[in-house]
Amino acid sequence: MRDLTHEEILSQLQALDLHPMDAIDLDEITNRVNAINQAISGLEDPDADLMEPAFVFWLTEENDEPR
Amino acid sequence: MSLDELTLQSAMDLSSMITKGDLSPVEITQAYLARIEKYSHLNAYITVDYEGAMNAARIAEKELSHGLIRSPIHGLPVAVKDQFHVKGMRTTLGGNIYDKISTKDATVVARLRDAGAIFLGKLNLSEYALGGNIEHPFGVPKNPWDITRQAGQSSSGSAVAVAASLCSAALGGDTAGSIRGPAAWCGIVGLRPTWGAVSRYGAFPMAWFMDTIGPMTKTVKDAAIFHYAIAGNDPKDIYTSKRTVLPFDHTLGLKGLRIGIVRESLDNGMASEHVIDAFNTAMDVFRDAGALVEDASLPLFEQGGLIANTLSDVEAAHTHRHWLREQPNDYDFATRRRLMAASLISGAMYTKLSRFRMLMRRDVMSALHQFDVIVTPAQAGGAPLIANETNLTSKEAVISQFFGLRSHRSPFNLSGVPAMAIPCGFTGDGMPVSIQIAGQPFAENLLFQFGLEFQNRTDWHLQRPDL
Repeated sequence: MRDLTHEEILSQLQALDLHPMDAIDLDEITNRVNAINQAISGLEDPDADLMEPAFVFWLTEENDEPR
Repeated sequence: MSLDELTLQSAMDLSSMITKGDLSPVEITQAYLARIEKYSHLNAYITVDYEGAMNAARIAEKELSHGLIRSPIHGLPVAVKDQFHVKGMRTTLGGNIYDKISTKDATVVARLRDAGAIFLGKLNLSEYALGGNIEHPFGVPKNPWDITRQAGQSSSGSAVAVAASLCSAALGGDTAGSIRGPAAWCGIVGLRPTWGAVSRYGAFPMAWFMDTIGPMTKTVKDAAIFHYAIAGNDPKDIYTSKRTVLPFDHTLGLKGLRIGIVRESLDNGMASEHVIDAFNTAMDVFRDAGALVEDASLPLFEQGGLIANTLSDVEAAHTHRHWLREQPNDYDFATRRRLMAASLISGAMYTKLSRFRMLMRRDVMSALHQFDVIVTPAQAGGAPLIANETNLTSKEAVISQFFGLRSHRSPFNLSGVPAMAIPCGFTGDGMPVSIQIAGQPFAENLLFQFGLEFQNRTDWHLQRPDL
């Protein structure tokens, strides 16, 4: 995925009614978004699409004996 | 021993003196209040309730003198992170936006109150328990081992207060490492319990499926007692487990138990030389205690920080969406930028991370079927200097600051299993270093078993900062 530009980030923020305070704010937000997107895009695992993204775990342990 | 010197003792040592009638809850409460005043420059507290604490101490003293002992916590002065509601006390969440007098107790607070604890006040934190802010409205919490250094994120005030003996024990919150990180940097014990073991009712949320509340204490024995006091089902938090919470049995040893060292937490520059040395020495202690120590593997370990921090930031961005629109100026600049960035992470990315969270859970559970516990350093290095800027001037700077080295605690948040930081040494410049022990869901008592044996054989937990 390509990096988003400052203008694209600003446009997306404005669509959400979010407003950076200044150019430094926008620059750092842009760096953060591009870094996160790049890092997530790089995640690879052959089983990733087989995993269901459940949120709550403890129910599966409810019947186990505590150690 | 003077009263001030007594504040340096563990909570259970104080408890023993109180229940024998050798120590007055009123006097020890006064001693802690005096220290809070004396060391206020550490910025550990946001609110100190002098009157309420003294009233509670007098009631505890009266009850104890009549032979009513509510629990081992009865008469102990404690404090909680200002993320949890305490009836009648101010709650700020460590930020500029929320400031209210609480009308109810969080469940963990109510349970400590029923157990006879005395509340000294509310502790400082990274704003809204997010971690990562630069400007702190109530002062930057300072590491008692070196006040030019950070105390960690976000239960920083809790760690400072325990390490500097400004309370006998504290409660913190841990979503992506916020109990164990500050505990490790400040040289105390910090337990992140199993997700669902402790009620979160009355606590301000960050990421509901990873938020936990746990004790921050001087010793493992203290952590076990405080965890027992706060854990268990609560109808006000539908995700709390209904299983019975058992008290910790101090008499068990480690002979024949299996420890798996997560290799990925040590290799490829994931920990400094001092951290690795202290960690290896700690493993020798476990071997001497009869445990079997072998290598384990969590292939996704280095990705833990990315997965946990991004998921929790996206959740937080949603929680904060109204304030972020209406009062962006009232956030610390780093928090504002972080939440706005998280607001732009796509649903597809979030789903991908959620699937990788399950892969991490699969790997952690697989390792925990092979070993009784798995261990890592609790941190990559000693506490860094207090920062004035984010310095995130490039994409690469963000990657290097926030992923990889930030991963030591995240795999266990993602997996929902309990994990505990225990002091195991110091860096060359005198900053504390800790190991981290993780176990199967609801195996807190097994973690205490390992931790207690370690502290019976070492004296790192007896070191106090020279204030």
